[in-house]
Amino acid sequence: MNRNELYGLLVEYAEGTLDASRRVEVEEILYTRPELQEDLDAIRSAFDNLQHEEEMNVPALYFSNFLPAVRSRIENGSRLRVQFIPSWLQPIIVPAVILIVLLSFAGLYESLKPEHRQSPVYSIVNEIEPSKIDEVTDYLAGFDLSIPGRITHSELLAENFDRTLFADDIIASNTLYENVMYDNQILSQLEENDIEYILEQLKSVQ
Amino acid sequence: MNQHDELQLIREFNEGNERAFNQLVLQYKEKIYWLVRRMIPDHDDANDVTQNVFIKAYQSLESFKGDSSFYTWLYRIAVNLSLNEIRRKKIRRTFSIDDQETGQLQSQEEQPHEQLERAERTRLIRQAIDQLPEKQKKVFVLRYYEELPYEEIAKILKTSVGGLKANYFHAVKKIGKYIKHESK
Repeated sequence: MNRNELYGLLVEYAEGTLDASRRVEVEEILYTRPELQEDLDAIRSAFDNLQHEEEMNVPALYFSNFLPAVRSRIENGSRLRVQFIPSWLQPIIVPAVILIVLLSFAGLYESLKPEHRQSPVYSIVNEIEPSKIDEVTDYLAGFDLSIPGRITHSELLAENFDRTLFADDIIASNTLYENVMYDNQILSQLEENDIEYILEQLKSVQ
Repeated sequence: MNQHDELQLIREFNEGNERAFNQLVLQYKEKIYWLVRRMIPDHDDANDVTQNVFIKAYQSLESFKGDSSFYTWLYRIAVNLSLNEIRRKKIRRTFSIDDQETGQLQSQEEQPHEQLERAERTRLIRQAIDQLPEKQKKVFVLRYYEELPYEEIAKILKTSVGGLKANYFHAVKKIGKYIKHESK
């Protein structure tokens, strides 16, 4: 007899539902394993107490009102799946909803990406004619056009970039290269107020 | 209502007959309520869970394949939702200082001595059941209160009969020991 069977027998012994031969079998086990007597006493005590447990109360008419209450909750929120979506469509609906949710999150992420969160100043600067940015940044930042390594906004345009970068007079040494500054960097060092001022200036020149 | 009738009702419901579902609710509402109530002694909470059991059944009946009997399937939903509620309540109770049990006892202080003793015994029994591990609690409720055979419980809980016997043994033993300890 394995342990689980023994447990089952002990419970039935305490309940008094065993036939005579099995009762004798349990009593023999109890005789050889007296430590089980304590478990048996606890089980008997539990059953004795459970017999005297009070009945639980249920409010009057509870069961009579139960079905209407369930129907009401179903009518208010749960009909959609069965009534309006054909069963063949349901396996398609769930993945579709998941896809829409994921795409919505992707769209949300896109709209929150740093470049999109730049102030209106950023987008306007990008739309302005590059040479004018150079002029105004020079004007406001007091930046000298002749400084070695400076790459202006105009030079950053793709058609000029390679030539500028590899020109001997610009990248003459590592030291000079460290001095390379882009106009975008200049803009990034300016305060927001300064940039707005630049924009006003640009608008007035355009 | 036999198993064949139930399957017929389920078929009718899946074909759009809402009344067929009502028949199933009427057939099982009391059994499910008492099963839930034994696990969740508070009536209001038990009522919520019982309603949820039938709403869940309503929503999922299309997926019922008939591999087990309807009532086994429904009992399984009831046990699972009850355990969810117990877990939720335990979390809430951790942050709450009100003690419903004490309140119930105090409200009965004016009653005769025997009734008071019975109420106290009942309170201890429910506390003892409440403190059982989840597995032992559901086995105890299904076996003792629902009087289901082990084979049926095994289908509901998808477990072995041997394991159930051990769980029931330990559950009853713990209840006995708890009451004895608390009565001192």
